[in-house]
Amino acid sequence: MSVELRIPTGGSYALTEQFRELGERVAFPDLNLHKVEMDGMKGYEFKLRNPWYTEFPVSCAEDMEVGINGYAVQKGKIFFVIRDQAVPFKYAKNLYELQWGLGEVAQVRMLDGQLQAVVKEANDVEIKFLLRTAFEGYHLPNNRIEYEFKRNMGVI
Amino acid sequence: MKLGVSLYSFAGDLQTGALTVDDALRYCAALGCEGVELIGEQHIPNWPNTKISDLDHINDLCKELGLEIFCFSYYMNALSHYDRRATMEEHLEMVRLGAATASYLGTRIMRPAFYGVPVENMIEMIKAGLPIAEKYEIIWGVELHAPFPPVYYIDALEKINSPWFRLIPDFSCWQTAGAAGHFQANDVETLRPLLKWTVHCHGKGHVFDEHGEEPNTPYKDLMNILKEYGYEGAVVAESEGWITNYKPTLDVVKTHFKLLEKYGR
Repeated sequence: MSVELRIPTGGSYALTEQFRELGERVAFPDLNLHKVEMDGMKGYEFKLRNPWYTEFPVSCAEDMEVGINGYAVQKGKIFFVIRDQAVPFKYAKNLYELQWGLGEVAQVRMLDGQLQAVVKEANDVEIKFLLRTAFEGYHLPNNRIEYEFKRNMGVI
Repeated sequence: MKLGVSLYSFAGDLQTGALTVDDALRYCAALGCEGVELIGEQHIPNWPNTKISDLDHINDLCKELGLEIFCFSYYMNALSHYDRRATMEEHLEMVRLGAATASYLGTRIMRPAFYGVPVENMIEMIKAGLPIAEKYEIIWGVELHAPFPPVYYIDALEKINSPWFRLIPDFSCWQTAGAAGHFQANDVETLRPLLKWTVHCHGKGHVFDEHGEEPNTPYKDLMNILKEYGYEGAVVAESEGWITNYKPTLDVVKTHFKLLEKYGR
């Protein structure tokens, strides 16, 4: 039997936009940069709620870029923190047995020494987050969705 | 037929912590649902590395509330690793875990979401995994969802020809073209020939008008077809409007479930 399957070639950008809208609504439970210290290094972190509509393996968090007041935070100094487990973001891709739960709030920790001079009382924060979907049935381009968040954040 | 709710319908509030799974189950019972559908990635803590105590909690609460678990759903993740696809062995382990969990939850049906394109891949997967489902006495239901046409899985159902492999039609297949994520509308009569394989149904809904109708979905016709056939499985309300048009989900689910009752009782 031959059937016609009308799936948009190359993935559905409309669906991408719907999922981005969802992420915009839920991703930030709080709009603050929190002062933090880890292993003697000072920095800041913000809370990031899982923007996807299910849990997924942390290994699907493929890339993260953060800009604060126009300064690009050094990627090697960005950590993903979930249930008190901190891992450099670039190694998150290895953690396929650790789940980021539905609605679970993680922290994006930045231990870039330059931030002490960059962060003010009010901050323009830009975040690019690339997520690979663990399930491939969404018809998203290349099974990925890129979120681009812009928020104004205070400091506490 | 039996009527209930997929807890997927509450995701817009489960996601922000406005509701818990326990809250949602209690609400379903208060509405008069006979049962629910649960999804591993949304409703089972730390799935797939779940604690038995978490499953016991769900079982105990459903028993207390008089709710049947109609179906246990989860995703067969092929892309968990950044550098390779899941192997067949890993897929089979997902089948084993899903079937064992479904069995522990006391349901007869599991719905492992598997990307069935081309459909030959689905057939290969089902043939390999079905003995596992059968061992646990769990029916493997494949969801027929837009944009797949209603006939999409008929080949697979006929070739596998097993009472352990059955169909779960989602009403999205009969929604108006132009509804969220839909590219084609299908005649409601195309549901009828699928009923001999159907063990569970998703009553999809995105928006509801002032009369409690879902204007994109021919509920009256679809439910009548199920009744005329003497369908004895469950239909669960599966509200999805929270993705792009969030409204507090309790009221939406109430409206949606009443729509099922209006045409399903």
